[in-house]
Amino acid sequence: MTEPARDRLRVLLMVRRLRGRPDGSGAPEVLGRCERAALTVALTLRAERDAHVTAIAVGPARREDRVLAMALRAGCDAAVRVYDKQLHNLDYLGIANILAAAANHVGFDLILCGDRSQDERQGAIGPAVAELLEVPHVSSAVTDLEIDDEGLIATRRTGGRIQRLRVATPAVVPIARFDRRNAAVETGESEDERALDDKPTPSRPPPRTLTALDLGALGLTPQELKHRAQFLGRARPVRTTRHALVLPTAHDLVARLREDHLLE
Amino acid sequence: MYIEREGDRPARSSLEALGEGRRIATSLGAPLCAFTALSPTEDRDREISILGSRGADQIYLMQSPELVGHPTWVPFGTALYAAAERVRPLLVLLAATCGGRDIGARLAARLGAAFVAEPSIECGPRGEIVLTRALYRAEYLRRLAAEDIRRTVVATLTPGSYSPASGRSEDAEVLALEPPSFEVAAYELSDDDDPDAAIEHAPVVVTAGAGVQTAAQLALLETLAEALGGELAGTHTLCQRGLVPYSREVGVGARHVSPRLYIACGASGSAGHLGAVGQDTEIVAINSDPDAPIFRVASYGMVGTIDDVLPALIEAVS
Repeated sequence: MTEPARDRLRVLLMVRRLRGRPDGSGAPEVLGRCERAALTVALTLRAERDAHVTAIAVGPARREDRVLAMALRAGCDAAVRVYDKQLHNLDYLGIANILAAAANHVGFDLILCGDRSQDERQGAIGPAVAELLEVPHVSSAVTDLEIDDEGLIATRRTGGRIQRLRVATPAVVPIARFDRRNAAVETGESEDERALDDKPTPSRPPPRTLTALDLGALGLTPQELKHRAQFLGRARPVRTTRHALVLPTAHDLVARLREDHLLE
Repeated sequence: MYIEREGDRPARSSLEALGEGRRIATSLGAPLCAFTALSPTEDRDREISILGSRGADQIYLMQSPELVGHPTWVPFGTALYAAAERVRPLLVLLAATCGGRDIGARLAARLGAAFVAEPSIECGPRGEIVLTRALYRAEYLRRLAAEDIRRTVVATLTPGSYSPASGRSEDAEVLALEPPSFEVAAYELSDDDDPDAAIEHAPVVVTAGAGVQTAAQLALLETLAEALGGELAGTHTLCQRGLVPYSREVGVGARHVSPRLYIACGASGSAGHLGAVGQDTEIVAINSDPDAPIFRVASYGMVGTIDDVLPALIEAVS
């Protein structure tokens, strides 16, 4: 892993491979929407403020290396993956414990992540990592993040209001969404990424840029985290043959919606 | 139950969640405690009367000059943590607003609790609580039984999906809590109107998906939305094309909506899009591809192009 110069803003980007099923298989894309927005913010900070960006993921190489490789190709400076084969199905706090330990190991001024994943949609990792690191967090920020000498300014849309918050750094900022079309990095970079999505890419990035860590390197043991598996709950497939009631004409559709009291 | 405030009174989403809390507490035979944090200048008697009539058995009340503005972890989350330490709850509920999501997940981490975002909650005859949520394009259900884990569960509840309880006449017990010391690390610089937020509360949302290619087609959707008293929205693709502003995007991380009726026009039904539509919403899918995945999620549908279906639909509703 390349060490950032001391005066560079150290950004840690927590990423996660999008999953199509709870076992991690069958994802249609590599990154979820919020993770993509977080990557955009990280790369904007790299371009505009010379930030050093380290992408970090928790999980097996076969699942997470592809997302880290994408982050590296998109412009991140380094990538770290943490995994221990004894750990399966940890809940948000189990994962957050690993990420917080890794953040301390790598060093950070700002931690970015997706506000919530597209598959599980919990949105708990960012706040939990902030809690473990005892730093502030502001969820659901939009891509227009501002950084100055006093810290950062995050904007979010909440309850019919647009709120701008001044946050002291170091901090954790889960990014929810794009708020502006053609933000400097957004368009070009996401198109690049999509092109990468479509190409058959090697599953492993070049070894010199990705650092694989085990729990021991972070001062953790599987025993202290294993119990978090029980808090995740069990996922089971829904057996359904559901199909929409398809109506032949617009009049039939509207009549049916009125009958079902969905339209006046 | 954490009560978020909007202006000088409890937020509607919190009263809805309090209504769901009432249902759960009644079926468990457990007390429902509402926690509310106010500044000293606010009307505490009115707050107590609202929360009592909306179902709270006990009201934990904290007042401090710092407890103003929209909820952020400090001071509101740390205040809630102080209350949770006192009550030692089985279940903590928050409305899944921006602030509720912010506070809920961090509170869970501080308590070492389980955290479940926007589940449906069932109570069994022996007092068991089961939290279930649909994931992975609703192809999977994740289920957590609270008695299996013997620890606090923190859950957020979808705004717009529950009814506030009403008409309770019993007096709630009021307990005043001392505020802890707050080290505020995030403070509000400005707070402006979000003009397109009406989408989040509209009874009907008409959404343009990738199948909507032109401004003329989009205008048809807008006419339909107007005729139904609803709002126009777009998927991520439409926002990327510049046809719909990002402030009107429905998608995971963007606007999350739970209207009565959601009319998706030319949308395939990706997880990133439909993950932001409430579980109780009835979806109408209009798509030219009869095999589009959205027909497996929608309740009603029509197969056809925007240019064919929309004018007929506008005529039928007018």
